[in-house]
Amino acid sequence: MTDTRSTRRLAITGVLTAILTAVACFGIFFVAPEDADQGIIQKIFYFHVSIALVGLVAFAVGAIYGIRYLRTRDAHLDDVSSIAIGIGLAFSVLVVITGSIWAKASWGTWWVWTDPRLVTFVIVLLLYAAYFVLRSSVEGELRLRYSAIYSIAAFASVPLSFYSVRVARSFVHPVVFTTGGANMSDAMLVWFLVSLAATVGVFLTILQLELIQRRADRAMRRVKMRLEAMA
Amino acid sequence: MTNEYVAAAYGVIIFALLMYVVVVGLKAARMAREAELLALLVERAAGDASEPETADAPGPASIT
Repeated sequence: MTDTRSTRRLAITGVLTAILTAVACFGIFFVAPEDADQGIIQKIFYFHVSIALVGLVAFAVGAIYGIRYLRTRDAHLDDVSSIAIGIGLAFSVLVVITGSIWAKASWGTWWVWTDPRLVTFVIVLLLYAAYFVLRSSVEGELRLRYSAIYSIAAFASVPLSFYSVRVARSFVHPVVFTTGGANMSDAMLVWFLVSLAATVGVFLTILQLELIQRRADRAMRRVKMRLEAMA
Repeated sequence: MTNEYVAAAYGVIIFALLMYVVVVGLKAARMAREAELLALLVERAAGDASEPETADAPGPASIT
């Protein structure tokens, strides 16, 4: 018997994400007001920050499922953990690229090595890149166990990156969300929230798509092994 | 000039999404190839299993 629920879930999430992304792009470019200081370049903010936040949440999902794997030894939980970390890593690379483009336009330089937010973000990125190096260097059950432990340990770097810009005094990277609220107009905040929802949708869609592919891959390998044993 | 930077930033995101679609497409193609191989192996296994039967008794094809 096959499970069609995951396919239906993927279709619903995919369609909702496509609609949200289209609405977000329309709102960002045609409805949201232009920033008084930065002008149109500020439009990068909507997806740059959304991708950064969802990327960090993806690392949290990876750590949570890593803990759950260690408690239950269910391979499906390792799948969720590793896929979430993969998506988080891809999002982080996009954050660095879009951030660099924004930096060049507003600060006149592609990168500032003295800024704690930028440097700690790259450290997080490299730590999670090492996750896949570790994963590919170990086989069998050990791979899943080491990956789960590493996903939990690497997550310690995420709050470091998040709070670095709030703790450090000398920085060029702005802080938009503080304990006092968001440093932007309500019209901008609404479209930021729409783009954040769209980015969450992209994350969920990719996660489900990858999970279905892994399931199919595993089933196919099982049949292949059985047939080879019969031959 | 800033318009180009905004276009570049959004272009990078669209490019990444398109690249992901290509990767998913390649994975789907690999899975289709494997499914074809498995179908071939199943057909062969079914053929091997029916061969001894055809020597003594009529096979499924002749029954239908």
